[in-house]
Amino acid sequence: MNAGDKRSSTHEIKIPGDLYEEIGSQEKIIRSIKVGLLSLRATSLERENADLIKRTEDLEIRNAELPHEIERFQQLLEEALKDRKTLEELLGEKR
Amino acid sequence: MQLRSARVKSTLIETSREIVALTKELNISLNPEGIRNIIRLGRESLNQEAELERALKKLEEERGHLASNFRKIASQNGQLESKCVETRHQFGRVSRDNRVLAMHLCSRTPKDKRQSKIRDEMIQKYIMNYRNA
Repeated sequence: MNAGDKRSSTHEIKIPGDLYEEIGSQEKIIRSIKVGLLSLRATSLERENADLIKRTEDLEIRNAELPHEIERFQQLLEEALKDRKTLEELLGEKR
Repeated sequence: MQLRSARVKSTLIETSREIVALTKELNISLNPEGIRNIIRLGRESLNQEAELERALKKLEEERGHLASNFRKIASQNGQLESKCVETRHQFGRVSRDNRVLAMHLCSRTPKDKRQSKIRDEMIQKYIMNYRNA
Protein backbone atom coordinates (compact mmCIF):
# COMPACT_ATOMS: atom_id res chain seq x y z
CA MET A 1 0.00 0.00 0.00
CA ASN A 2 1.57 3.31 -1.02
CA ALA A 3 1.14 6.66 0.70
CA GLY A 4 -1.47 7.73 -1.84
CA ASP A 5 -3.58 4.67 -1.11
CA LYS A 6 -3.28 5.24 2.59
CA ARG A 7 -4.69 8.73 2.28
CA SER A 8 -7.34 7.82 -0.31
CA SER A 9 -9.87 6.82 2.31
CA THR A 10 -9.58 8.91 5.43
CA HIS A 11 -11.71 9.63 8.45
CA GLU A 12 -11.59 12.50 10.82
CA ILE A 13 -11.18 11.89 14.50
CA LYS A 14 -11.58 14.30 17.35
CA ILE A 15 -8.52 14.68 19.58
CA PRO A 16 -9.10 16.10 23.09
CA GLY A 17 -7.42 19.53 23.25
CA ASP A 18 -5.24 18.78 26.28
CA LEU A 19 -3.85 15.69 24.56
CA TYR A 20 -3.09 17.65 21.42
CA GLU A 21 -1.26 20.27 23.49
CA GLU A 22 0.65 17.57 25.36
CA ILE A 23 1.80 15.64 22.31
CA GLY A 24 2.33 18.62 20.11
CA SER A 25 1.83 17.45 16.56
CA GLN A 26 -0.65 15.62 14.39
CA GLU A 27 2.07 13.31 13.12
CA LYS A 28 3.01 12.20 16.64
CA ILE A 29 -0.66 11.71 17.51
CA ILE A 30 -1.25 9.54 14.44
CA ARG A 31 1.88 7.52 15.25
CA SER A 32 0.76 7.01 18.86
CA ILE A 33 -2.71 5.96 17.73
CA LYS A 34 -1.27 3.50 15.25
CA VAL A 35 1.18 2.03 17.76
CA GLY A 36 -1.63 1.83 20.34
CA LEU A 37 -3.91 0.03 17.90
CA LEU A 38 -1.16 -2.33 16.73
CA SER A 39 -0.32 -3.08 20.33
CA LEU A 40 -3.98 -3.77 21.10
CA ARG A 41 -4.27 -6.00 18.02
CA ALA A 42 -1.17 -7.93 19.09
CA THR A 43 -2.67 -8.49 22.55
CA SER A 44 -5.95 -9.55 21.00
CA LEU A 45 -4.17 -12.01 18.68
CA GLU A 46 -2.14 -13.42 21.57
CA ARG A 47 -5.40 -14.08 23.42
CA GLU A 48 -7.02 -15.64 20.34
CA ASN A 49 -4.01 -17.92 19.89
CA ALA A 50 -3.97 -18.88 23.57
CA ASP A 51 -7.69 -19.64 23.31
CA LEU A 52 -7.13 -21.80 20.21
CA ILE A 53 -4.33 -23.69 21.98
CA LYS A 54 -6.62 -24.31 24.99
CA ARG A 55 -9.55 -25.43 22.82
CA THR A 56 -7.28 -27.74 20.82
CA GLU A 57 -5.86 -29.26 24.03
CA ASP A 58 -9.38 -29.82 25.40
CA LEU A 59 -10.43 -31.54 22.18
CA GLU A 60 -7.29 -33.70 22.19
CA ILE A 61 -8.10 -34.85 25.73
CA ARG A 62 -11.69 -35.65 24.67
CA ASN A 63 -10.46 -37.44 21.54
CA ALA A 64 -8.20 -39.61 23.69
CA GLU A 65 -11.16 -40.53 25.95
CA LEU A 66 -13.67 -41.28 23.18
CA PRO A 67 -12.17 -44.57 21.87
CA HIS A 68 -12.50 -46.02 25.40
CA GLU A 69 -16.11 -44.83 25.63
CA ILE A 70 -16.88 -46.30 22.21
CA GLU A 71 -15.26 -49.60 23.21
CA ARG A 72 -17.30 -49.70 26.43
CA PHE A 73 -20.58 -49.18 24.52
CA GLN A 74 -19.53 -51.78 21.96
CA GLN A 75 -18.97 -54.32 24.75
CA LEU A 76 -22.34 -53.44 26.28
CA LEU A 77 -23.99 -53.76 22.87
CA GLU A 78 -22.43 -57.17 22.26
CA GLU A 79 -23.60 -58.33 25.67
CA ALA A 80 -27.12 -56.98 25.02
CA LEU A 81 -27.24 -58.77 21.66
CA LYS A 82 -26.28 -62.04 23.36
CA ASP A 83 -28.99 -61.45 25.95
CA ARG A 84 -31.51 -60.81 23.19
CA LYS A 85 -30.69 -64.18 21.69
CA THR A 86 -31.04 -65.83 25.10
CA LEU A 87 -34.37 -64.09 25.74
CA GLU A 88 -35.70 -65.11 22.33
CA GLU A 89 -34.68 -68.71 23.00
CA LEU A 90 -36.41 -68.66 26.38
CA LEU A 91 -39.55 -67.27 24.79
CA GLY A 92 -39.27 -69.85 22.05
CA GLU A 93 -39.44 -67.28 19.32
CA LYS A 94 -37.18 -66.27 16.48
CA ARG A 95 -37.21 -62.56 15.69
CA MET B 1 -8.06 18.94 8.17
CA GLN B 2 -7.26 20.68 11.42
CA LEU B 3 -9.18 23.15 13.45
CA ARG B 4 -6.20 24.74 15.17
CA SER B 5 -8.34 27.59 16.44
CA ALA B 6 -10.10 25.18 18.78
CA ARG B 7 -6.95 23.51 20.16
CA VAL B 8 -7.87 23.97 23.78
CA LYS B 9 -11.11 22.18 23.08
CA SER B 10 -11.05 19.29 20.61
CA THR B 11 -9.06 19.14 17.41
CA LEU B 12 -10.15 17.26 14.30
CA ILE B 13 -7.41 15.38 12.51
CA GLU B 14 -7.44 13.14 9.48
CA THR B 15 -6.53 9.56 9.98
CA SER B 16 -5.53 6.81 7.56
CA ARG B 17 -7.44 3.88 6.08
CA GLU B 18 -5.09 1.60 8.01
CA ILE B 19 -6.15 3.08 11.33
CA VAL B 20 -9.81 2.88 10.36
CA ALA B 21 -9.36 -0.77 9.35
CA LEU B 22 -7.63 -1.57 12.65
CA THR B 23 -10.40 0.06 14.72
CA LYS B 24 -13.01 -1.93 12.79
CA GLU B 25 -11.05 -5.15 13.25
CA LEU B 26 -10.72 -4.50 16.96
CA ASN B 27 -14.33 -3.35 17.16
CA ILE B 28 -13.45 -0.23 19.09
CA SER B 29 -14.79 3.26 18.85
CA LEU B 30 -12.51 6.25 18.38
CA ASN B 31 -14.54 8.53 20.63
CA PRO B 32 -12.56 11.03 22.78
CA GLU B 33 -12.21 8.54 25.65
CA GLY B 34 -11.23 5.72 23.27
CA ILE B 35 -8.69 7.99 21.56
CA ARG B 36 -7.22 8.95 24.93
CA ASN B 37 -6.82 5.27 25.89
CA ILE B 38 -5.33 4.27 22.55
CA ILE B 39 -2.87 7.18 22.53
CA ARG B 40 -1.83 6.35 26.10
CA LEU B 41 -1.30 2.73 25.08
CA GLY B 42 0.71 3.87 22.04
CA ARG B 43 2.89 6.17 24.10
CA GLU B 44 3.45 3.54 26.78
CA SER B 45 4.31 0.84 24.25
CA LEU B 46 7.94 -0.16 24.37
CA ASN B 47 7.78 -1.37 20.78
CA GLN B 48 8.15 0.59 17.61
CA GLU B 49 5.63 0.48 14.78
CA ALA B 50 7.83 -1.74 12.61
CA GLU B 51 8.47 -4.18 15.47
CA LEU B 52 4.76 -4.40 16.18
CA GLU B 53 3.98 -5.00 12.53
CA ARG B 54 6.51 -7.83 12.43
CA ALA B 55 5.11 -9.31 15.64
CA LEU B 56 1.57 -9.08 14.26
CA LYS B 57 2.59 -10.86 11.07
CA LYS B 58 4.15 -13.64 13.15
CA LEU B 59 1.08 -13.89 15.39
CA GLU B 60 -1.23 -14.04 12.39
CA GLU B 61 0.87 -16.83 10.86
CA GLU B 62 0.78 -18.66 14.18
CA ARG B 63 -3.00 -18.24 14.33
CA GLY B 64 -3.26 -19.73 10.83
CA HIS B 65 -1.34 -22.84 11.90
CA LEU B 66 -3.27 -23.13 15.15
CA ALA B 67 -6.62 -22.72 13.39
CA SER B 68 -5.69 -25.36 10.81
CA ASN B 69 -4.62 -27.79 13.54
CA PHE B 70 -7.79 -27.03 15.51
CA ARG B 71 -9.97 -27.78 12.47
CA LYS B 72 -8.19 -31.12 12.00
CA ILE B 73 -8.65 -32.13 15.66
CA ALA B 74 -12.27 -30.88 15.62
CA SER B 75 -13.00 -33.00 12.57
CA GLN B 76 -11.58 -36.10 14.30
CA ASN B 77 -13.64 -35.22 17.35
CA GLY B 78 -16.81 -34.97 15.25
CA GLN B 79 -16.24 -38.44 13.81
CA LEU B 80 -15.48 -39.98 17.22
CA GLU B 81 -18.44 -38.30 18.95
CA SER B 82 -20.73 -39.45 16.18
CA LYS B 83 -19.46 -43.05 16.45
CA CYS B 84 -19.87 -42.92 20.22
CA VAL B 85 -23.46 -41.61 20.02
CA GLU B 86 -24.37 -44.19 17.37
CA THR B 87 -22.99 -47.09 19.44
CA ARG B 88 -24.72 -45.81 22.60
CA HIS B 89 -28.05 -45.51 20.76
CA GLN B 90 -27.68 -49.01 19.30
CA PHE B 91 -27.03 -50.38 22.77
CA GLY B 92 -30.03 -48.41 24.10
CA ARG B 93 -32.34 -49.81 21.42
CA VAL B 94 -31.29 -53.44 21.98
CA SER B 95 -31.49 -52.94 25.72
CA ARG B 96 -35.06 -51.59 25.51
CA ASP B 97 -36.07 -54.50 23.27
CA ASN B 98 -34.58 -56.89 25.84
CA ARG B 99 -36.63 -55.22 28.56
CA VAL B 100 -39.82 -55.85 26.59
CA LEU B 101 -38.79 -59.47 26.00
CA ALA B 102 -37.98 -59.86 29.72
CA MET B 103 -41.49 -58.59 30.57
CA HIS B 104 -42.99 -61.25 28.32
CA LEU B 105 -40.75 -63.76 30.08
CA CYS B 106 -42.36 -62.96 33.44
CA SER B 107 -45.57 -64.72 32.41
CA ARG B 108 -43.76 -67.84 31.16
CA THR B 109 -43.04 -70.87 33.29
CA PRO B 110 -39.48 -72.17 32.95
CA LYS B 111 -39.06 -75.73 31.72
CA ASP B 112 -36.13 -76.66 33.97
CA LYS B 113 -33.70 -75.33 36.57
CA ARG B 114 -31.29 -74.00 33.98
CA GLN B 115 -34.02 -71.99 32.24
CA SER B 116 -35.30 -70.83 35.60
CA LYS B 117 -31.86 -69.52 36.52
CA ILE B 118 -31.39 -67.68 33.21
CA ARG B 119 -34.96 -66.33 33.37
CA ASP B 120 -34.30 -64.89 36.84
CA GLU B 121 -31.04 -63.34 35.67
CA MET B 122 -32.73 -61.68 32.67
CA ILE B 123 -35.62 -60.37 34.79
CA GLN B 124 -33.15 -59.09 37.35
CA LYS B 125 -31.06 -57.37 34.70
CA TYR B 126 -33.74 -55.92 32.41
CA ILE B 127 -36.60 -55.20 34.82
CA MET B 128 -35.41 -54.91 38.40
CA ASN B 129 -32.02 -53.34 37.81
CA TYR B 130 -32.84 -51.74 34.46
CA ARG B 131 -31.25 -48.39 33.71
CA ASN B 132 -31.70 -46.47 30.49
CA ALA B 133 -28.57 -46.24 28.37
